[in-house]
Amino acid sequence: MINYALKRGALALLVAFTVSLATFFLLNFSTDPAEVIAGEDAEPEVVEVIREQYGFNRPLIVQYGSWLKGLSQGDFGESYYWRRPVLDLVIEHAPVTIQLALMAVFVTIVVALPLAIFAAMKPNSIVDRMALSTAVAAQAIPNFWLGLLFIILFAVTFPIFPVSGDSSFAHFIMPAIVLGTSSVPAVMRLARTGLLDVLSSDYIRTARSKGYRGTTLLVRHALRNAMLPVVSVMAIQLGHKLGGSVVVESVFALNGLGRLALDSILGSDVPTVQMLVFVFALIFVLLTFLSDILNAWIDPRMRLR
Amino acid sequence: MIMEADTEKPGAENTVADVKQNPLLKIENLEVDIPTANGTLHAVRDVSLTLNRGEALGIVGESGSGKSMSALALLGLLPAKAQRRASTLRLGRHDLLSMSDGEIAKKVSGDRITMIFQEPMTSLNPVYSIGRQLTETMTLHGKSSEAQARERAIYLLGKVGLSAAESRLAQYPHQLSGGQRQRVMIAMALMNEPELIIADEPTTALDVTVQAQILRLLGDLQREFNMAMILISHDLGVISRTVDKVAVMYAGQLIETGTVKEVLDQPRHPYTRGLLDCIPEPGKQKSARLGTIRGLVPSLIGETKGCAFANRCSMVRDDCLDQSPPLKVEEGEGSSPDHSSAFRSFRCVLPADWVSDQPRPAEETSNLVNLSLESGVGQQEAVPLIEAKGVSRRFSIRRSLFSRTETLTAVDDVSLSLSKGDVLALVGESGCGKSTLAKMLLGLDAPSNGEILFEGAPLSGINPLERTRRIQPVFQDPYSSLNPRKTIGEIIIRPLNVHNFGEVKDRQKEVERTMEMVGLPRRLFHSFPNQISGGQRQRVAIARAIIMRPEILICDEPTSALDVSVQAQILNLLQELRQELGLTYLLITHDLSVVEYMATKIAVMYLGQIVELAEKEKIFSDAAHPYTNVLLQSLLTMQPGQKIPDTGLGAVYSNPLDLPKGCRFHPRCPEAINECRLKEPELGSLYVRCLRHPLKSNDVTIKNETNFLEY
Repeated sequence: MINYALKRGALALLVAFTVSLATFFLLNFSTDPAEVIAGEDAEPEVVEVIREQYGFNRPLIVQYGSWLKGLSQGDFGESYYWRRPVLDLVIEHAPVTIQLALMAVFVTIVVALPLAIFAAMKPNSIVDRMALSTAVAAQAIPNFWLGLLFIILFAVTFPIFPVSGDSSFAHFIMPAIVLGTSSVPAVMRLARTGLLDVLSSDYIRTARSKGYRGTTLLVRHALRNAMLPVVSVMAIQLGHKLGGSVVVESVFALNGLGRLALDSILGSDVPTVQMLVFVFALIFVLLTFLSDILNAWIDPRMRLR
Repeated sequence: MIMEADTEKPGAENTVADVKQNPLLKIENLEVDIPTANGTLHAVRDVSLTLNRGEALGIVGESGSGKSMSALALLGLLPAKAQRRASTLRLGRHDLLSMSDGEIAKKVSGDRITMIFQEPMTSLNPVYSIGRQLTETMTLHGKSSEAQARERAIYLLGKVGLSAAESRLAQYPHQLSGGQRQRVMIAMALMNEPELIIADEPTTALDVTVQAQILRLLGDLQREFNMAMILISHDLGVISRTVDKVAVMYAGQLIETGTVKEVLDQPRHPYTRGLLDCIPEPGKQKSARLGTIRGLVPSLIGETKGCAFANRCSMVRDDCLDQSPPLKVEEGEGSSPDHSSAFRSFRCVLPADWVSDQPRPAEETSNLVNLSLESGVGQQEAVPLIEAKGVSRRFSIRRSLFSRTETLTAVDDVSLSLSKGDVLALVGESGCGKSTLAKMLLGLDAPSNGEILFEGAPLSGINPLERTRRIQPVFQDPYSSLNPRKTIGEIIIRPLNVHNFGEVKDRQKEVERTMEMVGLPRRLFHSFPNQISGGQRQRVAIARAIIMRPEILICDEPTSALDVSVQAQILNLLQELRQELGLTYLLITHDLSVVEYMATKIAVMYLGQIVELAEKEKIFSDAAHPYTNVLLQSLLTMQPGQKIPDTGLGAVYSNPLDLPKGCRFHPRCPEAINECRLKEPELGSLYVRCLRHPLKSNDVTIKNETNFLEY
């Protein structure tokens, strides 16, 4: 198990390094940071001076080296747009996003899993059909529309929740529900098919012959097996949410990483964008790593790989 | 070992007379209906059975005969929509009819009646440890504490022959072999000291060597614990060696019952008779053809009139078509005077003694008159048709990015040759490299070492189109080897199109000719594979293979997915085609009775090597290698009352990635001597790879190559 974790960990680091390389080069090819800093109408001489000053005239690989060196010392560079260390910006915006993401994932699990279990226990029954059609509907509803609907209903018509902002826990409830709902269909369907597969397997027949039925059968012999694909998908969904939901954060005026990303892209703020892309990639790598470990704990066969 | 006295368990103080009057299991008029889109499927029809404590009953039948359904009906494990009806369904003092599904689950299923299933590889939950899966069987029924269950699990794991029982508890199913998993399943079935154990094809998925061991174990434990057992199997050899009584099922009905000896030695029902004739058995065939049962099992959907077997029966009379014959009870060894537990019965209008009056049911007449099965030795040519010379195939295996590469030698230094007309059977346990070797002979894979010659020229040098014209495969599973979206005609004509054979009209004619040759009615031309039966599918596969008139057919387990009556038809067809088209076969199979019927030469493989290669007669009468002997002993021929022999085969499996030093077979060999551990035997002059063989390789000065060419 430890051996497995170490191998997976090393692989994750390798992926993170590759991502950092790709991000750096792509961003520096697509924009000229000197022109961005100088402003739209700047004289070429000024741009040249800036280029000299920031070291943009050095070969890209050297710039990448110094960026990596900075990374290793905790220096992530300075935002051109906000004129502040990028790290401070990220640390400032992260808590909002983390809270929103965790709450949203909680909503997804609480809604999707029981639905999937009900549906799988009685396939093609009314419960199953209802769950599936709800899932299809939920998938078709755009986030911003659902967000606006919630605001009109539960903040304006019936003022239960605050309209926007991120100053209290109550502020997060509506956005979390909206964001969480968007993941329900994928997770619910996957869990349902997974459970149906498991329930038709030979070892469930064995368990039934031992005298297991109904809920006990499900809990003692089916759930753990069916959770494997769900764990992987939940990790990816959480990754998406930790990356900041630009739409939901905008609709509810939450000042999280999504907003930061949007603003820095609009402002062509290369160091911030670079940092954010790298952080998002790291989050994905980390979550995939964690889901691998979790899956290996669930299924002993995975530990062999 | 059960710690508390089981108050529910009756029978402990039963007298012998009691047992006679109150059989443990009593089933009367059991019916199982399954509603389908096309109407109601009558899966089980009017089945009545009794079984006493300590008795073993075998239920025989082909697929779809309702044998598993009858057993599942006892435990409430039928498909969700299935309906069960019966006038009596009793186990000991439990009236199963009046119990709800929940009550059966609580009190009977897994406690009084336990089951062992066919697929040991998938019947254990992969994410839980062996220990947990064993102990939960007891704790679920509130029988004992966790600690007591654990103690019993260790005791039983030892009983079923697993070494280091205690440390096994922490293992997971994937860490055990198929045979070991089936042992765990057996231990699991014994945890609660059941009164009845139902084994549904318990050894069908296992190698023959393991099958013999598992069946011996099952029989021993059944007698030791005085349990009743129902063994469901399609294999009459298995049945004849393991049970006391037999029930033959056909189309959902019991058509004949009796003691093993009665049913197998003096079959009363024409179906039982036909079934017995279908089985190839060493020494039995003196005629060239196996008996067959014409036609197909009738559909069980809707109401049927008359005898279910009438359309296939060679003894059919007019009254057979009008009414379903009743089950006639007859005095027999297993019956008591008052008929209460009479067991000798059969469902046929014919008198019981028809067999002695009548000749055996007429076989389908063959259009081939003089069918001889002699080996092709007579017309042997100087250059063999296909030849493998020192062929090896190694695979590099890397488990993950960071581990080192390991080498798996799937085929190791194999030399063999086939001359025109030969039928070479390649036998061995699963994973011994049979299929890898076949793939190379087909030209679909290249050897890592050595070469394959076709008529003396390297096979790799022949262009693929030419190669596929001359060598063709027939695969095991006709359900997955035919494209479901193509019609039968399209499948069979495909090779002609690929090879650009003649005019389009000629192709059509050729397809019709070939279909006739393999016994496919022309009307199936536009059918799809899912509309025809398994046997017909295999005929399609054979038609596709022979349409270009190849010289060699490589058949990989061609009949192991088929029922016995269908298997006989396909084997007969292969024999006919061999005569008619002068085909040469490489036959890969695990079934030695098929080998005995088909082969002229036999090659025995073990862990990638051929350990013995000889004429069929030589192998069956005087096998030289201990492994060949073990295989032959594991072959369960139909001998009612005979015990399954102990082959003395060790249960240690060798890891193909870490082969044993010395002789590869020595860890399992019943005859191994010290020398076997140190020295790897080479092939002797008689193509035997064994140090103990009298003609040891080192005594012989002639080079190996010259020797195997003799074959």
